[in-house]
Amino acid sequence: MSLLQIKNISKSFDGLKALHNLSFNVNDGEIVGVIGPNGAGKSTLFNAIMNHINKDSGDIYFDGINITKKPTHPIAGMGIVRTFQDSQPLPQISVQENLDLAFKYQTDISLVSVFGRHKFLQEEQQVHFTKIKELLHEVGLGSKLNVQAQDLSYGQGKLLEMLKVIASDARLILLDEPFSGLFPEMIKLVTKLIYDLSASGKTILLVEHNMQLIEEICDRVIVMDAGQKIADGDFKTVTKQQNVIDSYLGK
Amino acid sequence: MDFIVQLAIYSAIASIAAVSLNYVVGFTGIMSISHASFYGIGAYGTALLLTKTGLSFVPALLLGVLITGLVAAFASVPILRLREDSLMLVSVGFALIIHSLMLNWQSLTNGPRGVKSIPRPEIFGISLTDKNFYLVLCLVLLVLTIIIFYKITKSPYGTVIKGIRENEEVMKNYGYNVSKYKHSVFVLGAIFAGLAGGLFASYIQYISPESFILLPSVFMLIMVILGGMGSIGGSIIGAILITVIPELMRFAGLPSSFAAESNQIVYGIILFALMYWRPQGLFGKYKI
Amino acid sequence: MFQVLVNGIIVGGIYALITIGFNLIYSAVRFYHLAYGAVGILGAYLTYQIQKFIFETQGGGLITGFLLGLLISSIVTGMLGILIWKFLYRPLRKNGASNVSMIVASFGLLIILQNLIGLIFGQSAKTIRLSEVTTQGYEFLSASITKNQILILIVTLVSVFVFELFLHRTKIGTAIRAVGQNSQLAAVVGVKTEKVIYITFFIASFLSVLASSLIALEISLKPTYGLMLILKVIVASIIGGIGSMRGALVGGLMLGVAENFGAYYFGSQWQDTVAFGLLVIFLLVRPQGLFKK
Repeated sequence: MSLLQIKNISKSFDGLKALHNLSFNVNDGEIVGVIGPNGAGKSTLFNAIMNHINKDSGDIYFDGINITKKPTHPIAGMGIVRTFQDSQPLPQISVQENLDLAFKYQTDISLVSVFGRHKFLQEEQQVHFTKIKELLHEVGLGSKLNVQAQDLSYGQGKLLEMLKVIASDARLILLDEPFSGLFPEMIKLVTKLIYDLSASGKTILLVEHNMQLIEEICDRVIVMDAGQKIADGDFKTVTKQQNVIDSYLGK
Repeated sequence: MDFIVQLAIYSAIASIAAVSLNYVVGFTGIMSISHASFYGIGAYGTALLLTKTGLSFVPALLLGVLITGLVAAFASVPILRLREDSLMLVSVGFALIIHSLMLNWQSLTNGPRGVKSIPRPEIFGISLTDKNFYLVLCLVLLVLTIIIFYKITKSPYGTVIKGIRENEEVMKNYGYNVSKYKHSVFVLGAIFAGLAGGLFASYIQYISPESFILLPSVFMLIMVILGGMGSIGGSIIGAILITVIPELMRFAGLPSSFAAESNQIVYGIILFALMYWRPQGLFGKYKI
Repeated sequence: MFQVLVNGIIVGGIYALITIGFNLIYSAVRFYHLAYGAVGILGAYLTYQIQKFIFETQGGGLITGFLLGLLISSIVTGMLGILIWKFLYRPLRKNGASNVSMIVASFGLLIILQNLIGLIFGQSAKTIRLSEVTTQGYEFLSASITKNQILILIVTLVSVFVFELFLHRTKIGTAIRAVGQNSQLAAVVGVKTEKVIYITFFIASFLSVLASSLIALEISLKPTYGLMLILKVIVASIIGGIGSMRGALVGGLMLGVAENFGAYYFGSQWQDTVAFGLLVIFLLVRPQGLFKK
């Protein structure tokens, strides 16, 4: 059974069909790319999966469980994390605090914990956090733990967002244009982080405009246009299909 | 000297209210204008319990605070469903409705005539009618308030609510039940506002709906904005400034017919100037 | 019962007039100009003073005085509106103030204006009269309606009608609507956005003076009415849908009628509670209001 099953979802805004009978599956461990011309509905898709917007019809299953109508935070709690286009960290708090918030075991902190001896990270997570700290150094943010996130550069901000994704330890990762606006060195870093995630068994759904990266990174590609799926398969095959070529050239 | 003690008591009470409002507005980013209503509910609750039942000060105050918390819990359901501008507006609506209730629910609140002869505290048999003792009581409670909110803001819980202030959507996407956190922040803030109100009632010994109209909520907001969003110390300084300035102006000999309006004009100017030159306030860390 | 409805429509019409102006400004600059009510009330006080001056020292009639006063104070207040935008709001905006900052700043302005009015004119209530006998009226389907009220009704209807024409049939009106929908696009197409905003503030201030003067005619005039008025305007705007002229009309009327029915059934002291109860209900059930922008 696939990890993520999108079944016939549709969503209209004021008569405009943003998603139209869209169906596809994502299997455990895959890296699947989502491509398509602007306005194809790719970000809407992510919003629909996290139930940031209601669907008009259709169902979404994660690990066999119907998440179509669940509120966003329990969906995230089940092990899905998403980034936004032009994702930047929470600006007026520090790099350290940004990371703290992303760690997966922290979502149920109560007031009582304030007066107890609660630390943010229990023993198991210390190991995880040490790994993240090493990554921080690798990407050049090691000395910036106490810097306010808004003082980071755009590229550094995106790197931090990727590290938060890793910290969350989510099973399914939705990345919305993680490479946009990045210099080549940053692109290499982000690519490596994505490969590391996949190697550790995570499943990734990746929206991106950069075709070279899509071809390089993804196992499989889904092409969307006007809210519909028009192709689903490996990159080389799909990009030779006439309907895909037409949609990119504009009919 | 007596006058200074009185000013200190008012400042301490205002500080408790300001610190608790700062927690809700400055730290968590919930733009609520209904805080003075909770101050008022705490005042009325404590006052009515002290005068109409045989309860002594400590239980009456605690019960008054509890009632405030309960009302806040109910009110938070509609209020917190909204964002930013709409939240401000609905909290204003709530404040006006509460004021109207104070004025018109005569069987409970005595309407415009108010509640008279509220007794000063008697704790463990010691009567605290003396101003100086009352000041000590207020300061003790203020210190307690500061410690509690300081610990909260420095804890992991504090990081979570800061994150909520920054971006609720992102926090939801990381699995946080944002709504639950906002409710508990709102109610805790209201509880301390109610505490301040109860202290006010027992000190001044007479309250009426007059003291709790919209403007006090605005004054509290000014204290917090002036002192600085997210800064506990800043809120206290803001509270002291806003409490003391009108008294100083009175001292300076402005005729009382001018005093009220001139005060408010000064507040209006302060608000506007702050938004222009320093939206994060004197000592604040976060901009509105 | 019908009487209640009639009273509600009269008051509602006045609310509608001033709410239209408020929404006009909102659609042009996209924030709540809370001081708007106080500006209108200031204008009404000016109308009052001028009428008084003409009646008492110049020997003019009450009506002449009123009309002249209205004319002059509208122009003066219109200019004030433009000044407020140019020297107070625009610099804030340029500084990068957030929407919440703008609301707080405009509230500061409201407090300043309201208290200035109190200092200059005093706290006692003033009324504007149009004739020696003020409460003469007519019977109409079991409701009585005074001459004043008929005048108010006519003025309101005519104003709304003229305004609708202006907004939809003149070049300037179209420009205003364009700036309201998308100011960047409008600028690209060659609309002088700044000029349009000036005109918007001028017209809106005019409407607010008109409405406030009508209030002075029908009820009375007090410095605190600035705050009260803007609160009612906000309720009406939320009901009608913020930024929508039609919504402002409907919202204002609904509010007036609801208030009067509330007063009739629950007693007049609960009138404001009804208004704000409506606000809360709408914000919860239909926050975008009845009409979309």
